[in-house]
Amino acid sequence: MKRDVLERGVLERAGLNALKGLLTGLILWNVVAGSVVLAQRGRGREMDDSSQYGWHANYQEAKALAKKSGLPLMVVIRCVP
Amino acid sequence: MRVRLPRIDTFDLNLFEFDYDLTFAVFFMDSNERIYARYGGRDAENADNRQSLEGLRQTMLSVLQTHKTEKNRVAPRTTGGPKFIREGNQMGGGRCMHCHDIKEQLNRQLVAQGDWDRDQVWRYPLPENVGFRLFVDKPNTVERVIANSPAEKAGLLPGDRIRQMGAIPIHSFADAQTALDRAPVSGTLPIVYRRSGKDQTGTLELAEGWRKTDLTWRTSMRRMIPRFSLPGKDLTSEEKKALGFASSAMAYRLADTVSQRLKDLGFEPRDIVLGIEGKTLKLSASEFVGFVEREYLVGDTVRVLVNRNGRSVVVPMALANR
Repeated sequence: MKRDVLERGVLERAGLNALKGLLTGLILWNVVAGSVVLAQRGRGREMDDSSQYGWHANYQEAKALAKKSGLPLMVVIRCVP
Repeated sequence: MRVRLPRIDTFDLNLFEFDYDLTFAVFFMDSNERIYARYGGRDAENADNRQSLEGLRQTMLSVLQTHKTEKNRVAPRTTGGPKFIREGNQMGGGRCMHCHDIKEQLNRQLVAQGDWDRDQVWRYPLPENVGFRLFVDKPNTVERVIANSPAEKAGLLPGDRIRQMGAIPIHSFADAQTALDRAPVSGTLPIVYRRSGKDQTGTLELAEGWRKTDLTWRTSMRRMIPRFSLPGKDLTSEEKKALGFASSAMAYRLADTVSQRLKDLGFEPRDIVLGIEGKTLKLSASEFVGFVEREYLVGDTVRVLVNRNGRSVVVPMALANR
């Protein structure tokens, strides 16, 4: 009887630890995934901002538009870290 | 028509050919990909020393004028067809390469093909290498001319507007650097400049070694910049006078004990360092370190001139990586 209780206690503790591990993992995963999403949103916003001011991100499309309009092209190469 | 490219590794590098150690470059072109001008560039002192918003504006105005009235005044396209850094331009959305990585890969290709030579270390020389400096805000106008330089001998004066160097039309500092990059290791480079509304011509004489420029800011060259360590203390004017050295000349004394590495090379405690390659220099001990790291490359052997107990001794030093 005493042994059963003891074993049940050990099992419960093991289950509790596994649950805690799972919860910690989930929290960490959410933090990491959230950061990635936020970073991507930030980068996307940067590109959106430049398009708001008339910048193209697609070189081939811009070249076709330049041909149609007769305007020269200004191509800015900027390393985005 | 404005385009912003955050990466270059998927594009034809024979079209977008620029100084790949930069993180910002501008191309002005027509819709047939004929290049009118470039903008950007820097020097070893500062990343923003050679560019400004006003300079960019002036370059844009100059390009618009060219587009209206001189449509064929364009830089010749690099021969050899499209060139991609990754096989068949198949890199898709993979990891972006930094521009300096592109340069390092292109250099590795040159080495593998047996086409590498030492002069290719000094890409995109400064206009000062041939004797003139351009205004930052008026980017094709000469700010000053160095005395006895190729530019002075070619007739350039402050205020002249450079129109062409070799085959490259000049609207900016970046154009001048591109023209100099394509100029021969030694020989001549024709130049056209405008003074009082009239075009003038001249020839820049390019002597051996004219391309040499401070590489220390170039990430792509970091493996070629040597580490030079020969510490010591500058002699005072009185000490120099007592030993018969000119007061302006470099003379510094090694410490009372020197490292085993320096001993193995042939230096001795209290040697007085006077110069290099048989020449004396007007530098301090710390400036001498910078001088060697700027002027020589990893693998070079420099012959250091020292005075040891009144005798001149030459100590060869092979320069290693940092």
